[in-house]
Amino acid sequence: MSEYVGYVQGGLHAHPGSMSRCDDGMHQYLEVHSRLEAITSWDGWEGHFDLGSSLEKDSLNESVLCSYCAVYAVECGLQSGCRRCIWDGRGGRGYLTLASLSGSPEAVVDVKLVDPSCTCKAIKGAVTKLRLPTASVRGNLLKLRSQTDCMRTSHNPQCIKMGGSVRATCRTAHVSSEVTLCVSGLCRGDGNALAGTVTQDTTGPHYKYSDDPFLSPYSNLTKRSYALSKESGRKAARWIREEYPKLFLHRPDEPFIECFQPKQQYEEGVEVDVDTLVGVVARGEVANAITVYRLCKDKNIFLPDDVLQDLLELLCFYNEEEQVEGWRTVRQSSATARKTWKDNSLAEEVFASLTSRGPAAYCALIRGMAHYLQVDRAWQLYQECQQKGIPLDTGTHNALIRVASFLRDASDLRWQLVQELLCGMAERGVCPDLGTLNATLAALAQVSGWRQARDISLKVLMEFHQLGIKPSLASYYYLLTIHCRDRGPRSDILVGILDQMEGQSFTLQDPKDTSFFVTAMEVARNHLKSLKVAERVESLLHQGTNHLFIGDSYKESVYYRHYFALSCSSLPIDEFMQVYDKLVPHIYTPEPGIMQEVLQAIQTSGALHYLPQLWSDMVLFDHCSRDKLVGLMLTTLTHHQPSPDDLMLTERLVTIAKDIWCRVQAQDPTRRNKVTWTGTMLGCVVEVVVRCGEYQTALEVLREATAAPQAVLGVLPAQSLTALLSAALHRKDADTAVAVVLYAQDAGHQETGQMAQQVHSSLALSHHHLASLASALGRDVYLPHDTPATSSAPAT
Amino acid sequence: MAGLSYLLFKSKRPQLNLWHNTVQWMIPGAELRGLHTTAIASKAQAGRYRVTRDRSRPLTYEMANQPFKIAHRKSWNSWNTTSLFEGMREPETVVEDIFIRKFMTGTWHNLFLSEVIIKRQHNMVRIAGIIHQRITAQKMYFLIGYCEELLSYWLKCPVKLELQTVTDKEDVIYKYI
Repeated sequence: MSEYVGYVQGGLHAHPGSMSRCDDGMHQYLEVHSRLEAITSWDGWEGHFDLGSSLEKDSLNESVLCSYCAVYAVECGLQSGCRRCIWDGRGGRGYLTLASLSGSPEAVVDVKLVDPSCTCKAIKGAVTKLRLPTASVRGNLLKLRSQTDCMRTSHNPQCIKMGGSVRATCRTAHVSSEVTLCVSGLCRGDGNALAGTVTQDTTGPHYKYSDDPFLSPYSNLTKRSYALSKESGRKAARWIREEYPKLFLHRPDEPFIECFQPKQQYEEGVEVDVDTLVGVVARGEVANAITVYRLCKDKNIFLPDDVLQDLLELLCFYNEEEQVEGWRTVRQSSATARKTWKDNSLAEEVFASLTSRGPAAYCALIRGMAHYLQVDRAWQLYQECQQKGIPLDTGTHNALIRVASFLRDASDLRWQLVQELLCGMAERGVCPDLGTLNATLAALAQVSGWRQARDISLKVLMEFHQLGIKPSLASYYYLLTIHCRDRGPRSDILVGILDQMEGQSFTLQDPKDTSFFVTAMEVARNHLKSLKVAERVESLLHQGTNHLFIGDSYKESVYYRHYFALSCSSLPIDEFMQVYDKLVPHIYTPEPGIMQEVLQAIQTSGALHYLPQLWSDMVLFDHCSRDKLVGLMLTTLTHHQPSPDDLMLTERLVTIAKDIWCRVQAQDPTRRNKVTWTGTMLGCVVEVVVRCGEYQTALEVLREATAAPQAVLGVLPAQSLTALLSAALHRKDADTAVAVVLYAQDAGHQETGQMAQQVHSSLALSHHHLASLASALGRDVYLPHDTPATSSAPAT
Repeated sequence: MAGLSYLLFKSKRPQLNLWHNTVQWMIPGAELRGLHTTAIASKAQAGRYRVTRDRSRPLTYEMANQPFKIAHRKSWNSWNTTSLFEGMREPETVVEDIFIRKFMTGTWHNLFLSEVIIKRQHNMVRIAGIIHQRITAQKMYFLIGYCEELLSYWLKCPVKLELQTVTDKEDVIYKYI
């Protein structure tokens, strides 16, 4: 619960030990869930509380939703009541649920009416006396119910009906938190029941984009750029608030939400004391904490050790850098992780200023140093602790295990060090946990080239299983990296992992949990090359809330890239196109490489009726400036044989060819990556259009080819030239025919002679034509028996 | 002259309403100076547009339907529960709406083609409207992110923008008068 206090107040702070934000999607999930977790609702009208049989059974996590605002339950915030429930005269049938605030079943509920507008003194008096020190929550609720019944009957019910808020303080074994009871029939659950009914929507853009055709992105570039533009707009607004905080100090919100207020600034002249420092550290504001600490030091204010300890933990966790609000782009983990710990800086100063450096202080410092890769100092401190006999906790040991690879060079020495650490833990009676398992596997993943790494990893897993520690998605991720390597033997461990995971739903326990699905799909594609396994992974992803473990949008695109490529190579074309329709373009936009594979698949299978759809998609995804793709599209087009029963398709394919022609011609010549015509491409264009009857475009192409031969790489192939020639002869177009022959001659095709003969025999040629033919080919080549003056009528 | 006016006064005059009478008497010698006051013109002119000679004034559907058509052919531009029984915060909501409208039309320079619709739902404010596609989508997203964030800081509650875009202005013009 201590992790969630920040959430309840409307802000999302990454407190030590809590989940880190991965992306917008995960953030939204966490925010909704954590906000809704600690709320109670209250039915004040109907004269009874319906506790719901689910509460009788147990579980504090059961959510019972209002049948009226169930629609809005996910969107319900902390602040206001569900007025709809009150005012539509149905009495707001809400249910009272005291969702779990912490693991503890003991909750003491003090109810205080704090509505300032309530003038009923009697109510105020009555309510403050309501203390329910009963052991079970259920008991609490029953008491609450009976008390409020009294309240309602004996006092003016209008007071409660006014929608005032009642604040309930819940003291549990761990922490005390204030929870606002909104007396307005608001029904909240933890949102899971409702959210579980909403599956992924493949028909529209991602929720972070606006649902408008102009504002929906289709290509990868636009997807990224729109998201970044929106985020930069948010940053601009944040900057304005930071720059002019005095404009935003008004407080119209009841209850007060700290998140919407500008951050308190601490400068030189401000009065500070210990409590200020405590408050600032509790809110996780690193820069402010540093300022206040310095101010306290200047004024020689005595800071007790526990306050210093909290400050030390904050500084170590964040490495003295303020956390930026908003969407953080996930930096791809660089191969060379660099040390970022600030040496001899404030954290170490605070550590030194502690009067008694207990285990907690050492733990905080070692963990911070290990996290930010100041490995040598961390190791030094560890040795120091061992000598002095200071006990360290599990988390510290886990942090050390993670960085053990940096301390030794050889693989077996690294593993030896990890083993030493683990034995050290066992000696001192420190219980390992999931973090230990993940750290050990991470260390093994660092030495995955070592032959024994695979066996050891399995043994580690077995041992932790005996300890009762269930592996998380991160553990499976490390297993995959260890076993399914590029240059290693084939391993079917993924199948085993999937068998274990069937039907499970997961919670986020480690930052690397989000890498599992991407890696699993990559293994399925490259290592196992099995579509069945890929399908299993995909179905696992769509179970329950597992789709959140896909991580950020980059990981999602990589995941679907592998799935897509695998489907393309394994499935027959029709089934594959179904997968294509489902995923493209909103969930996944194919990269040029993948598009190439798709086109090749279509070429081999001959399903050319998909080409119009593919071309329009290629235009949307901005693939038209890629030579390879355009060339491949053109060659695929040439495979089409027009027949009377698919005139529509023929027309469409011709439209594609003409579109390609127009687009490339209309390209800006100063552009960097543009398509340059090759002879083959032009040949394909000519062939396609001629075959389908579009003569004019073919003429244009020929004109272009002859007029600027240096702009075209290579020459038109003979096949296309013969096709064009036959079309020209059919139309009795002597100019074109002669031009074709001359071009063929320039190109050096073998069939030139044949073509020339054809021309001569089929058409009546003018002097000019004959002269040019003669000059190009030589008189005797094309005139076997005739003289130039006499021209016979076409024979064949 | 004075005698004439006195005679006029004494003779039967049409029943003037109180205000007219009062005004006439407040200004001594009003009739002498030829000061005429008219009866109060209780003419409705809100939300009505004057017809132009060459019928060139474009009206959107909303502008074309006059206020008495609200709930018949038109609907409201602000949706909230403040006017219901024991509805709270009515004046604050009105002022906030004015602020939101000024803010939106000012931030989106000449881009709004419809009115700004404000819907309050639970603790959220949803702002809707039709935008002209005069700026690129990237710029629109910048403005969307900026407006949502700044308005949520101002109003202290989540704000969501639900905008629709339109290619040209003619698409929202209903008629010309």
